[in-house]
Amino acid sequence: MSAVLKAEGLGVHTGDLALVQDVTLTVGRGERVGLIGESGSGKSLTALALMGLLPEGLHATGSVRLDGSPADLVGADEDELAPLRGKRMSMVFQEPMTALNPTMRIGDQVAEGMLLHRAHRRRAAARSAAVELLDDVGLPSPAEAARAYPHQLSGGQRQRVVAAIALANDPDLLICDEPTTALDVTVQALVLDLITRGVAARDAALLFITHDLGVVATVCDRVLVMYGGRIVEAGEVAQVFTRPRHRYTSGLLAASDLARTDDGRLLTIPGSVPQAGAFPAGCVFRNRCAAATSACETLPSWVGPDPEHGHACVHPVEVPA
Amino acid sequence: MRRRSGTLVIGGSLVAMVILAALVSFVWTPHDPGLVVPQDRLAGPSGKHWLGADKLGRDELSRLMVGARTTLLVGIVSVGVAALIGVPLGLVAAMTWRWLGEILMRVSDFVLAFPAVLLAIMLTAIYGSGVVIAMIAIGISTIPAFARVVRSGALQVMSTEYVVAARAAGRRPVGIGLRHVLPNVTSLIIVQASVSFAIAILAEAALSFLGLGAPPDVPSWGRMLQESQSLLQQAPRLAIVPGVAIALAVLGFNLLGDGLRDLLDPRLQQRRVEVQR
Repeated sequence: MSAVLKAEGLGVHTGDLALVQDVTLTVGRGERVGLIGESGSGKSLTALALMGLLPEGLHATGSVRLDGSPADLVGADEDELAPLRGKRMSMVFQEPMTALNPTMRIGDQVAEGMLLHRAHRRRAAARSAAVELLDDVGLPSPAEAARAYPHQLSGGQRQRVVAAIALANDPDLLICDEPTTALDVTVQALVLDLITRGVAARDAALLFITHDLGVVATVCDRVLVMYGGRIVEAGEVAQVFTRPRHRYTSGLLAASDLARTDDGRLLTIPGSVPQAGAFPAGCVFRNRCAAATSACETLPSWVGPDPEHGHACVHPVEVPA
Repeated sequence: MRRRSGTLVIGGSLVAMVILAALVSFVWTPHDPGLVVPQDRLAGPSGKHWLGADKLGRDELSRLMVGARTTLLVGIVSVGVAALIGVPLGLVAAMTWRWLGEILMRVSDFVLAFPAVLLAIMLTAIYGSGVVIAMIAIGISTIPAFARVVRSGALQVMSTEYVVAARAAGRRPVGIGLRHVLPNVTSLIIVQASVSFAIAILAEAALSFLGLGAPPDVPSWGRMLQESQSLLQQAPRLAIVPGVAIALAVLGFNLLGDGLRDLLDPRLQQRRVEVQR
């Protein structure tokens, strides 16, 4: 299996403040990898850094390589990135209400991506391809939807449009940043299904960012757990979700289990995610961790066969042998 | 269904009246606006001269109608030139390097601090007086209003997710500016144009009043005011007629601007971009 995306030691900094540190991940062709963590753990920044879309004032370090492009995407300029974005790698955003231009017709927005990357040279051809694509993503009466403006569609329909735009040029890598968080549960399932089918049909790599563990369990093969801007645990979904090693992962899983309560109250991870830059030195989780000792004051080293499998914890949860 | 605001209707009607008067004046005026009739000197309103005649016996209504042409011409050209230069400058200031935006905004501060009338006097001293000079002076001093409004609007648009999404789809900066940012600040530009038009009318009248605008043989509202000045005691009507015309035209464009703002941008409560006066 060839790696479509390979990030090594990826970091995001503003000034001398590190927001994301030492993220190493690979996503292979046809593979579906989840990136989970609480809000503020650096998931979205990681995604933006991979696409080279960090806002002004933030810069990335490390290396990001896309299979088949010789250049390192970190530090590449717009002229190098623009031909890749939307063509080789594309992105689905969280908020379907704002991810579409309110002044452009749906069909034109879908066709735009294809015209940009010369999938179609003529506007009319791109338009009819856009209608086909809208049909593909399950939009009812796609020809009418193509002529509509974004505000005329519902949230779920808009997210289908966003997905259609992302899939328009058959990308090798699709990054989804909480694509279903803003949607109703019933619509969620439809959009998830559409994304997984779209990715499978193109044999593309999927990096799926969410804080919803249930979504990860249904969509992904492998999962990376992120906290405080670092990857704290990684592995196969079944492995990580049934036998978590890192204390943060086990806390996250316990908090997601609605059947387990503590005197009728839902379980939570004590404390809250610190402000960016206010994470403790050493293990980033130690100020919220019940098992923390003075040994956690130095950065725990990675325990595992490779960066895709393992954890970074001094006091891992014991696994029954 | 959008609420049709009273301001829009009143403003639109006033503006339509000015435009109608100017258009009709090309094919018909009650009298030749330049025709001197000595026996009608300072004649009051009558069946022959609806709004009376001036000190040379020229028909006031005819001159008012032809004067509307000058007013509109100066407004259209100066606001048009200001928009053509100001809008791209605002986009560049918002979308390129921060230091360039800062420099452009400081330059626009400098231009803003310079009254149109003063600029017109300088230009007149160099090139002589004329309608073209007036249009250039008003146009230049209106550029910053457009540049600022477009810049602040564009900065907001630039922070929206669909601009990030457009970049993620491989759009380059120029394409984003033209396809995504510009269409989303169009309503701001239209509103600004309407308000700037009102200011341009006032500035043109002031320049003509000072003898820096239209030459004596071209009827203009500002010049009519000036000519009435020496006769304020005998015939205040001669000042009132062009004065009311100017006031109504300015009011019309201002109301139109406010009405358009409400109509075009229902989200304005969220986007609070102040129109530059």
